[in-house]
Amino acid sequence: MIVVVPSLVAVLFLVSSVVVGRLADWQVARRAAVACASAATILAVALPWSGGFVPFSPSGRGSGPAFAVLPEGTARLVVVATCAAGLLVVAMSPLASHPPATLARILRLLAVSCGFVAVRHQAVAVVLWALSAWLVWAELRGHDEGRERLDRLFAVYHLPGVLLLGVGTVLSATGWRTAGGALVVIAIMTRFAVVPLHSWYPRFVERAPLGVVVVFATAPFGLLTQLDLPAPLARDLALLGGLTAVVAAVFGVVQTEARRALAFLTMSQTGLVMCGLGGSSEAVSGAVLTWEASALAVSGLAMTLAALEARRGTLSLRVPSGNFARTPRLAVAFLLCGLATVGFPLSLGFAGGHLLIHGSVTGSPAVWLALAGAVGVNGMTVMRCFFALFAGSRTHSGERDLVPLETYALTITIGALLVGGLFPLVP
Amino acid sequence: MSETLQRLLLLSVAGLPLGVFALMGAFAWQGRRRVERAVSTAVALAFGLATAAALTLACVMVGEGRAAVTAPVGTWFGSGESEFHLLLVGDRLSLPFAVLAALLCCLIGVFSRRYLHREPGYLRFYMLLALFGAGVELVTLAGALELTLVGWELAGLSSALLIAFFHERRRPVEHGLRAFLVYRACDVGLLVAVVWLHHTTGSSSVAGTDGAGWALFRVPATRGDALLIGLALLWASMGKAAQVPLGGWLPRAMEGPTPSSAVFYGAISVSLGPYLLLRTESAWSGAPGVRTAIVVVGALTAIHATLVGRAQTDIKSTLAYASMTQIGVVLVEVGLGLRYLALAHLVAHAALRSAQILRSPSLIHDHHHLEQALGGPLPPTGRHLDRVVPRGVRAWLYRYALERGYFDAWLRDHVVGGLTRLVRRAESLDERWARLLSTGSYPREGQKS
Repeated sequence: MIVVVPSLVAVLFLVSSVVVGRLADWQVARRAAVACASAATILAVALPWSGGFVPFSPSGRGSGPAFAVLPEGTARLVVVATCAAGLLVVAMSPLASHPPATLARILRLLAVSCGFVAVRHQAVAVVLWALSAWLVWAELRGHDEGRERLDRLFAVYHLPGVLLLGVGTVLSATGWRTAGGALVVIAIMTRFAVVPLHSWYPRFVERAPLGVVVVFATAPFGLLTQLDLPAPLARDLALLGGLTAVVAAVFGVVQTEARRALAFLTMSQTGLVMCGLGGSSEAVSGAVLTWEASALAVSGLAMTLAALEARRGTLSLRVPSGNFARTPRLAVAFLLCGLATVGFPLSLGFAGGHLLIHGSVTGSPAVWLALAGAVGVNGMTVMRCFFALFAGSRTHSGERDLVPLETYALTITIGALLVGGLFPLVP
Repeated sequence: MSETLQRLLLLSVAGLPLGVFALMGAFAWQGRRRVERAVSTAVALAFGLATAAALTLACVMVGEGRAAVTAPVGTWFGSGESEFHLLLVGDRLSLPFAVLAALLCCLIGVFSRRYLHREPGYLRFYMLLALFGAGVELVTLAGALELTLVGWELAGLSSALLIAFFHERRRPVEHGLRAFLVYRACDVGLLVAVVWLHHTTGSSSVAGTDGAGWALFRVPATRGDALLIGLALLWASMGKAAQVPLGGWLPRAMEGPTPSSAVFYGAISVSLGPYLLLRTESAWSGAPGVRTAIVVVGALTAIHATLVGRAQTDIKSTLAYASMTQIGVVLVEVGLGLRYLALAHLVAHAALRSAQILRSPSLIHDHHHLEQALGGPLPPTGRHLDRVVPRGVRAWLYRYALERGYFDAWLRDHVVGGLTRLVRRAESLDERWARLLSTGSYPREGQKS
């Protein structure tokens, strides 16, 4: 099935990536990218209001591909959240670490993310999955020149991941559902950095441009919405997700570098989402809402971190060494996005986390207790990062607060998180 | 008075402070500078109106002989059997506490107008005070435990941020973080209790009132469920009420501005723990083990805090331990089922202790006044202990008091420190594996990237 709105958004991102990649002036390139992401977000938000789900050619009637204006159910949210996260990324990416070429790759990655929803076909999904991994690998190649190669580490995990997904999809389509499903599960575990296939992720977040990290994380959720795994495998994947949520939460709270703390926090949130997707209907609703909140809130958290890093250099959490008074808006944005990530009340994440934990209780007592613990520990990580980065020092390096472009993107994101928290649309 | 008006009054008790916080937050994000007087007036007025509303409701209830007033706002969100009900309840437990909380916040709002004049964080202080007050009123009036959780978290966050109010100094920041970590660890208990109560009884909203006019939650079917829920609630209340062994954050919390210390750690915030247990008594009273646990925790805290408080050398720490002692005694009363005594004790302690803390900066001045009035030095206290306690035990107790019962060191070195060391070892192995894959060769010991 081909879905029109995500396709239009994907095309818009692709066209703008070509334009942005050719611009020599970095400032102009960023403004062009922001304009494109804004247009895509407006398109993704406004078009659904114009009508419901209208199939042009109901599947099974004609021989050609079916068309629809909008994706069904949870996939509808994926495009909106992806565009909003993309807007935040391009508006807040520091110029020094995100030249036009990188911004163009980010826009291509966003196009790929929308592509997962635009064309609902397993084979296309495999191609898009491979394409997004290749785009990131190409970006990493240009970054690491030392003995330790991040691109090599990335390839070690993602090349087999893509192959396993391809083989698994073929096997599933030819009737070997269990064997194919198992391979798909391993591929998903690799991509989502599920324990024990997670070792690439902390280093990836630590060294890659944060804009790329954020956009790469949003890419595969479109695939999850069309995944059809055998029930036992889905349950195993959910259990591994729960394990990842707990382990990553505990690892995150003891980190001494901000980027690594972000990596484990993201892993933990992803684990929570995966755990919910394999549970009851309430848990699935909670997981989708949690993903929606995470897509925005983690993006906000990561990009405020990137903005602060661009102003201050490497960010350590060993001792509190920031000054809230210098960058009040940046600090507030960091705190609000962080709290929304961990499901703090009055934010979008709260509804998701609430439903997710309530829904998990019918499964296994150990799992929901672990999830409750993980949510609690993730909150500690956020607050620890906030205090370490924005308080504890009289001195400052003269860093400036948010610039208008950053304020614009963060206002939209935080507004969406708060309004979504007050009026959550439960799928 | 009409039902609709009563509901509006009940909603306004929590809604006014929350609305003021939201407005000030929106203005602050826009970067607009507000004059001090407007900020403090808005907050004090919101709490003043909330006090009047709660007081009116209490009078109406007494006048009409009603057991409770409820304000069902609807369902916030939900899926399947899990729905989040917005329900406020004013009964004979919640309304006195709601009046107390709103009144104290109002008075602190007025008091701080001069105390924090020209302080750079003036707006921040008032915003956090409004958020805290809204959180407390939600906890107090919540007719569904999920809503209690919302208020509980808001109160905890604002408390931690106010401890770190003087953010340019490292100590307040570390102490604010410490308080938040304890809160968060204990909040998990409340979350567990909410989910399990909902799972076992089908609802976590109040289901009626008893003969004494106290709102009741549904009773779990089995004693095991009641035990789990009760212990989870006790764990949640231990964090906020600074009970042994988690109470080390309370004396450190006095790093915040004196007005917030007075209202948070002398009065309302530490009282939320016993209040939660009083509110949910119907859910755990079927498990005698919970009563025993509450009495043991409260008694141990009272003994520990009274001992340690006697060895403190600054007035705020002394008052913090005095608060811990009294809250410990209140928990004992809750555990013994003396709920009216516990409620009266909570309210009286909150009023007295917040006044003491507000007055604490003038301690030396007051001391001189008292000595002048007496015509000589104040008589020493605690001499009876010299006669009762043997010398060797006295020395040990003194050391125990100086070290604050060794609880902080035990938590730091063995609980948190042990876990941190274990996680770092596991992480180091993970890092070596990642390095092996990224370099293609096995790294030697101590080799850095």
